[in-house]
Amino acid sequence: MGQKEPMGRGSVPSGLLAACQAGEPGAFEQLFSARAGQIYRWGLFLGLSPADAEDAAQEVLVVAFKRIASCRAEAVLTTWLFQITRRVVANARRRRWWRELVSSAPPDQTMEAGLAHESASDVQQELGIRECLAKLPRAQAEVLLLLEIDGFTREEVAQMLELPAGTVASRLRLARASFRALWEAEGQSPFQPENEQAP
Amino acid sequence: MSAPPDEKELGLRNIVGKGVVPAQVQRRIVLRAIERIEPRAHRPVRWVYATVGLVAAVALVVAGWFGRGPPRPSAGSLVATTSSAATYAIGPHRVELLPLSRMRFAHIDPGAVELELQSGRANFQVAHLLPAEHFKVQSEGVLVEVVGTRFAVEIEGPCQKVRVQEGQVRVTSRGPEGSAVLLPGQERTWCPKASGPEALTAEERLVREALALIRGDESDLPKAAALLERYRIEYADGVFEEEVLFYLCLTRDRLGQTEEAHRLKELFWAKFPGSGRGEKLRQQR
Repeated sequence: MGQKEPMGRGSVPSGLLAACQAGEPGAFEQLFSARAGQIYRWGLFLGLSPADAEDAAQEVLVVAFKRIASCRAEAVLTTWLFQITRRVVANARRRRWWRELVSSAPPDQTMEAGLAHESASDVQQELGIRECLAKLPRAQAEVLLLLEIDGFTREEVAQMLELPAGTVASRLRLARASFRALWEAEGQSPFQPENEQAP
Repeated sequence: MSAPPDEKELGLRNIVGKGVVPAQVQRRIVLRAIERIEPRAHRPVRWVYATVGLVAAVALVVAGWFGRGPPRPSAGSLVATTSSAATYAIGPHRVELLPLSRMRFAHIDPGAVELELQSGRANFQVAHLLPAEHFKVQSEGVLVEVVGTRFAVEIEGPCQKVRVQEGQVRVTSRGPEGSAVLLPGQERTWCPKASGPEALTAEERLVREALALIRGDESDLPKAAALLERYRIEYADGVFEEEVLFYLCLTRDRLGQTEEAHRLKELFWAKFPGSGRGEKLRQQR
């Protein structure tokens, strides 16, 4: 099986964190450009609409700017950004819930794709995956996002979520089972992961 | 030997990995974030705004001093009460918002007032209206139109209760009940089916139930506290964590459990340092 490069483990040029902490001109723009897409994806697969995911990503970057001094090392930058994202996404979901609660109009159930795809079937699959993830408990959705979509290892996810590795493993098992059930309940064909065909 | 089904990867990455974040989205996020963090000191308009703001604030203080009375909300403003009630003046009318309630002043014109009670309870004292004028109060499930009167609207979980003290009001439900005119001394409760338990998740139901108990009788407070504690155990880091912790602080305070309330407030301030509710908890000390 080919070595998979985790989609979520975006790298930043060495020394960029120190440059940001020292307030060097242009450093934040470089950091933001390197991480904006990754944060937007997290928001999207943690249950936000594309518009809300865009706003949330922007908010995460602004919080990162304000608290950059608290990021200890480049090695933990992704973990640090993910933890900010969890909080910002939770706030966005809560705001949306209140908005829907007080609004006289029924909540908008339509979904739009947040990523650019080559084919209509890929768009459908992205929407299906987001819909199923949104129905999972947040703890399970986070584990699936980091392991299955971003490609982090269990040890890395344990560190990001501040959980024991055993807990991550059990959440992952539950999450996969729930996801499969939801996916099939949506009338989608059972999963045939491409990587299972690899030797 | 093949792994059990739940040990196998779902292969989500093979599907999602084909999609890319649109370049214009990425650019917009970066540009807006940069715009928000850039120092604004070089912008001369900042001082203009500051001066205008200062003059406006002085004018408001002077106007408030000479024309003391209930605050006059502006159109579109959202107000919320914590432990004490607040009274607002809209022209000749008076609106009393009871503790733990929230209201939006959607539309305020000399002849047309439209309010949205979002949670809790409010009392209304409406002056005589001319035929062309109207005073409407909307809540999640009902619309109350005033014909010149004193009345109260209360939200209890998914239900809304309207009680008339003087005059008469016409209440229109969003549900199949249609509209009804209530006379002095009459009260009626509407419980729309559309917002029944099937429309809510277990997490939402738990929060709603606890909030309804908090707004009810004092004797329900221990049960409300127990529900909020249950939420914290079952939905650690849940979507309503901030609300739950906030109301738990208030409830423990009202139950006289000051040490526990203080411990919870410390936790709230640590977890939600930027929250406006944190300020409200500080003011309660």
